[in-house]
Amino acid sequence: MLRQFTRALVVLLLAGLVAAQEYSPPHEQPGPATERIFFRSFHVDRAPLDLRAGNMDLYLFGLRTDAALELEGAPGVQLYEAPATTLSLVLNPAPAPEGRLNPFSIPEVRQAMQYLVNREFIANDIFRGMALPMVTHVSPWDFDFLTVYDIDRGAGIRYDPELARELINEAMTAAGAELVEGSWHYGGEPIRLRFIVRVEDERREVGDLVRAELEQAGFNVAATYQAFAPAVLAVYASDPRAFEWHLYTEGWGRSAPQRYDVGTINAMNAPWLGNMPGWREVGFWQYEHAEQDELGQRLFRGEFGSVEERNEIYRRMTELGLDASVRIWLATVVNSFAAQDDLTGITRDVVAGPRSPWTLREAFVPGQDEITVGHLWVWTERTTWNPVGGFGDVYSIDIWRNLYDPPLWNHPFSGIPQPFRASFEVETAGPGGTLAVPGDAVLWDATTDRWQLVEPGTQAVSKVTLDYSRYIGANWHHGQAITMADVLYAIAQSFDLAYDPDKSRIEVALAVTARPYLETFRGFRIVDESRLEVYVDFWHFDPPYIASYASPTSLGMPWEVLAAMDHLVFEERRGAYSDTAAGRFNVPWISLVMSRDARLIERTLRQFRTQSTVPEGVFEVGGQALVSPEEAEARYSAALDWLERYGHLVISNGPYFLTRYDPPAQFAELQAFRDETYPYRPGDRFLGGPPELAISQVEAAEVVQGEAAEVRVSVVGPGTLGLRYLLFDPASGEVLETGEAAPGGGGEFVVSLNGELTAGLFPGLYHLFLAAYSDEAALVSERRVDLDVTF
Amino acid sequence: MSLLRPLLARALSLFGVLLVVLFLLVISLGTTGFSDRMLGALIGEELRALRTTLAETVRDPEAIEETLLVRRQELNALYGLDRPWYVRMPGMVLRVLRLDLGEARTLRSFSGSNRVADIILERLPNTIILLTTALAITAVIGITVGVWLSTRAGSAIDRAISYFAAVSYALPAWWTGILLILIFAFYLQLLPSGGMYSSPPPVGGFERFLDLAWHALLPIITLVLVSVGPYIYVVRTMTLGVAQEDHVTVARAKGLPDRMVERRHILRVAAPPIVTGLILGLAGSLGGSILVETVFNWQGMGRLYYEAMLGTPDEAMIVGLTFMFTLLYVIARLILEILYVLLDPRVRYDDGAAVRP
Repeated sequence: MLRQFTRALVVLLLAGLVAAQEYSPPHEQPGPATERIFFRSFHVDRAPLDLRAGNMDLYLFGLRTDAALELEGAPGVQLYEAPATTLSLVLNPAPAPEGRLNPFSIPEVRQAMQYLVNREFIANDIFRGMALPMVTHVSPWDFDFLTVYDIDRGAGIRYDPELARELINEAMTAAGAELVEGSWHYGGEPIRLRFIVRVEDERREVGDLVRAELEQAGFNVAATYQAFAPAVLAVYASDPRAFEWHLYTEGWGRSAPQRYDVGTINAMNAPWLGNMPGWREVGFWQYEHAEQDELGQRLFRGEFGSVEERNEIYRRMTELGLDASVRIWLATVVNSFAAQDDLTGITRDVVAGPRSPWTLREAFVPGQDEITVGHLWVWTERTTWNPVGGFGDVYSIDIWRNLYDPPLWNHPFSGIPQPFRASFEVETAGPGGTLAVPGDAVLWDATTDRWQLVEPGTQAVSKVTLDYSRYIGANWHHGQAITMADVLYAIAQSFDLAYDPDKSRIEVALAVTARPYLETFRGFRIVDESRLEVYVDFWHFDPPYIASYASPTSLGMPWEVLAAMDHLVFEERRGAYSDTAAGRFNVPWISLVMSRDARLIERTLRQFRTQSTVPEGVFEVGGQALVSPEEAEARYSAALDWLERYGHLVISNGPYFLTRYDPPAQFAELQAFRDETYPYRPGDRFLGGPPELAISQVEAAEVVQGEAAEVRVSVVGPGTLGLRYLLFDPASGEVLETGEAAPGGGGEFVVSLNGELTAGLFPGLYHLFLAAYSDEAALVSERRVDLDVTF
Repeated sequence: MSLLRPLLARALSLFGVLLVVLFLLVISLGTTGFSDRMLGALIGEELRALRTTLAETVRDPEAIEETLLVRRQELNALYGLDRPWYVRMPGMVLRVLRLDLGEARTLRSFSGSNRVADIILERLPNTIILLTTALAITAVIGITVGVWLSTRAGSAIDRAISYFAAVSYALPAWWTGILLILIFAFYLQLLPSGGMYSSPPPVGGFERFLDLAWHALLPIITLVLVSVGPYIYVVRTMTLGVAQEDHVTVARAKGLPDRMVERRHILRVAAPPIVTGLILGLAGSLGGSILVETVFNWQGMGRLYYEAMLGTPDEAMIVGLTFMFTLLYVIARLILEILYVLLDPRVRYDDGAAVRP
């Protein structure tokens, strides 16, 4: 395990060091580093050749392992690594009908599977060192790995097929099965397992490996090798009791670092969130686990008073997950993103690698005005760019995130929400108390279409003051200044969609999705022309999470475009925000990037301009009107001019603007936004690679039985460092001691094993697991030291 | 006898074929539960993704369940799963028979339209420029060289081309495509490696068409290379077979010039099977080729078929595409019926049945 861990870690650290070079901005103009970005589609199998041929500067889609290893060390190419995928086997635990037996309905057989899979072979040989074994749903690169460290390492889970077969024999025999000529039979019939194996990537080889082990254990395995759609059809669209599958090779994408995970642990363990067999599909048999559900929902609702309490819940859920073993975790896979050597300025997210909003703002090739970014697709048959209903595919999001500046975003290294273009202050009385909401705070009333003062005596758990001063006064891409009116329109639009009786009947899906979230908002108060107080019933022990929750708008589009779309969807009924409403009313699902749809909005904008329309009520707050008819007219004209010039209505506020979008050519062109009012210049967003967090040196003397021993450890990394240790007996599979090493300053730590502890050790080898962590990085660095105990 | 009546009978029977194909499609998608499950899986996937999204903002699990329930109802209505297949699908078939292909549920055209006809009409030219062009080139080369070879049977060139035909037949199109990309795009750097347009693509008009043609060159060469060998061999063998028939010997004995014997007595007789292959091949080529389109990153009918069936399953698109291709086959067959009479003077219709005197 140590070998592949070291290999994968070295790969990541080297990639980090490459990326963490000094950054010299190519110029000092406002906007991004490079002048133009061309997005082009390249098939993943051909991408390495195209990269070498100079047809692109960066490939934003993860390469296949073989291709990545071939490119490793190739002249002129650099690889950015990110642990962006996890793999698991999901077992079907449904009980078989009378007279038949499903082995995986027996918990002991599922637990035996933990010993039957050779995770080290998967990581070392199948992924050729580009993966790390996993035991629980927590990747060794997740910050929560520390939370469950002793559970994970102390579970004693290893590749031990003998033990697995022994456990299977016991459990199967107890269930009434018989081993006939090496094959399990029940009721005189052989037991046959249906194994759905995905074929698009290395999961095919993983499937072959698992299949061979199962056959060795006496199971008759019928493996079906399938691509995404048929596999999903068999596994997620069939009742587990129909036994169209017994086990399936799952793969999970990881998109951004999470300092405090809530979603993954629920999704991978707790049935209530609909990701356990049965999938909460009506009419299907359901895997149930009341304790997981109860704990998961507590974690979900934030029903904990401290980080310690939260961690306890998290640990218990992880233990229960291991005990149930419905998912057998296999490996975290390192994805490789390839780029030309001379491409500079890449910021590498610890999970998503270069696929984050940070990367392309600062990326440039010295002496070159443009960069070509390759992706699997630029356009797909599902593509829709809709600022209200959302995007239809991930490829469009990878383009869009360069066109707008979100108010807050998770830090690419620590995973904690942080200011991106807005800043914030948080005041909270949670988890138990409340704050008074001022009497001049308002809420949008969707029935009267007015901002209404909050009820006297309104209380909220937290207050977040969002400062939009880096937006306000700066320009949208079409040259109009961003104002508080843009913020207010976006908020009012959200409330309207959720609560306006007519609108919520048309866009049902959007309304029901938004309501539970909006119901926790208690009031908004405009402090001045750039600051907004948000009162919300939400608490978290880490204040940035409250700010992230309370941020009411992404501020991605100017109000006149939103207003025109609202009119088109709800008054004229010639378009829809969601696919379902579009289907129901037989109107287009509006995509602002498509000329055809943008032309629909054009008519509305022209009508607005002719009639000097100012949306009613939304800009009247505190007795003043925020938008005059002249200002509104200027906005409409600017939007229409934009449409005339570029043929679309994707108008935003980020470092680039969209100049061309050509679906048949699978091409998009982004141009630098060099407006003087844009507040950022090259270098402002550069973060490079994640800070190095590593155990650099370990000094461990021989441990003498009955005498105190010390292990000195040097850790390098940013911020406040810590070191957790765990003494493990490989013979018994028990954790003998766990704790925090004493810091000695300057990254030095001492692990002290007292005489009483060592007196209980037998001569031989013991494993001392060390996990270093930092408050500035959402990752953990681990090392195993073998301690030699003597008399 | 007038050609009209027998052709009308043919047209009616082919229309029957069209109905049977659509009927079988509906039955196979419906009774097996495939369509419902396929769409159910699509909805399930969307809801699973929505759960995760909702989990980021909604803290009340019950609210999440309520939200998902409403969304499920919406999606069921969108995909037609709120009605059983035997209500939903016949309506779809009746509509396509009225030449209204309807709206796709998930797929969209380059311009954003969800009309099945728009989507198909956008993709069809891309496929025509690739596959149909390749087939046309193959046919021209195949017929010319095949006929020429038939007069040189047993010669060194005949043997050489026989070997070439075997190799050409054995070459998988995707493998040949990759090989040619490596040679012409990456090694010699003479042709683009894939995609339909350059970067940045020309904005419009003739320049854009030329760019498209330039990008189509390598895939066309690939397709011609893997199909021309067997085509030549088939034409050569058919022509040779006719050339050895008695009526040709008689014509030669009469002292007719070689060219005339070739044209009137050999080619005209050998033409029907060759033309049958050609016309059906042309019609079939409009279906695209998923492998070649994938290798060359080409947005043609093959990829559309794949997307509609497996990528993002779309019932309306599947029915629309099946209708269209069956219709193309029917039209091709009708054209062939006419061509048989024109090409081979021995073919006559008698009460709707083709007979040879």
